[in-house]
Amino acid sequence: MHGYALIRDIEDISGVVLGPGTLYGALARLEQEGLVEALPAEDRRRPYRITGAGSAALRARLEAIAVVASVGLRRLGAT
Amino acid sequence: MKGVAKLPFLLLNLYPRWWRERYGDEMDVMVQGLVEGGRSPLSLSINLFASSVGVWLRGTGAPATREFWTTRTQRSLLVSALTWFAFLPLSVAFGLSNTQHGFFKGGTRVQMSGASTDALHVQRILFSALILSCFVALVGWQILRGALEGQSVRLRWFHMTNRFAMGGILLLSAALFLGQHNSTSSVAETSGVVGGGLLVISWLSLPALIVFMMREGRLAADRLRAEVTVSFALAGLNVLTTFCVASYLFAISRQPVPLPGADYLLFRSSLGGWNAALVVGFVLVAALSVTGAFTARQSYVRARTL
Repeated sequence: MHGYALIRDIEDISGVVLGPGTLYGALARLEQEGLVEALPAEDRRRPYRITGAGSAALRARLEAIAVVASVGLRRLGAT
Repeated sequence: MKGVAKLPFLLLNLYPRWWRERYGDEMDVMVQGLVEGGRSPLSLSINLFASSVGVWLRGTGAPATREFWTTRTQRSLLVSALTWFAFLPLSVAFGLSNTQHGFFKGGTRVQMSGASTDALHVQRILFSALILSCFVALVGWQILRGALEGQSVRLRWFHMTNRFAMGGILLLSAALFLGQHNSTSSVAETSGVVGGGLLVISWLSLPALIVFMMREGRLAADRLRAEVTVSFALAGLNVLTTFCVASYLFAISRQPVPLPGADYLLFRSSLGGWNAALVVGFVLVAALSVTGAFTARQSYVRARTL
């Protein structure tokens, strides 16, 4: 997925409107940490792909969020 | 595309070269898509400006080479060092514009208001911070000179500036001595003017000289570490000085009007409304100094890991 598509996708999923500087700042850091990788450019647009390490890190983060969310929802239900 | 719509594209040039080479093209296409999709060019511009500042400060996406991060450490140290040269003229302007006013009938001890006492205490801290900052700057200068002495950096201009400064100090000291001992006033005056002139020349040429020396020379890791420590000390003293200047001006603004006929001692500033500009100047220079010190430290730490 390339930068423009990523911005649109994030907006659709979460409603957060990212600026291009914010997105590329994050992409550069993720790339530096080996969590995403750039593919060859297609017509000046460069697609990015999540790496194995990135998938593992994302999974761990999502599971942590899921635990917090489920505990929160359970406690809300108990009151 | 006209006016404001062009702004985000122009702001892409604010990013460092390493960033533009890697992400410039794809960001350009993306910004084009966002503008055509109806995103406000102004909000895009604000985002790009803030992000470019962040990239400069953090070095995001920069090459992971020791060479790059060492050069970056030196440049950050340079920024931090040069702020000191801006700090002293500001301090001189502050010192010259602030005076004491008093009325004494004699015999009894003069009573100062709480605000005046605070101003006096802050003034003492300020003076100590300035003296200490001169000392720290001298230490930094000696480290730099020592580090570059053995390299192929041409130190001819440095030695000349050093002689100018020493000559200036000697002539000014002579002028003060002659003035106090009632010798020929014209000799004292000439000595003072020439001495002051030499000091100003060395003061003005020193920043350029430091830039030149830092660009030509290469500091070893231990010297870089020492200079990072010096830049942190200078940044801390600059922040302390700025805080003292602001506190002093606040304290003197709260001094009560003396009662007619009573003994009093007041601190006054002749700058009036311009004091706000002076404080803004101090704050900006201190912020630049702190930024330089932090960037230097971050770059030095990164260079060591490569």
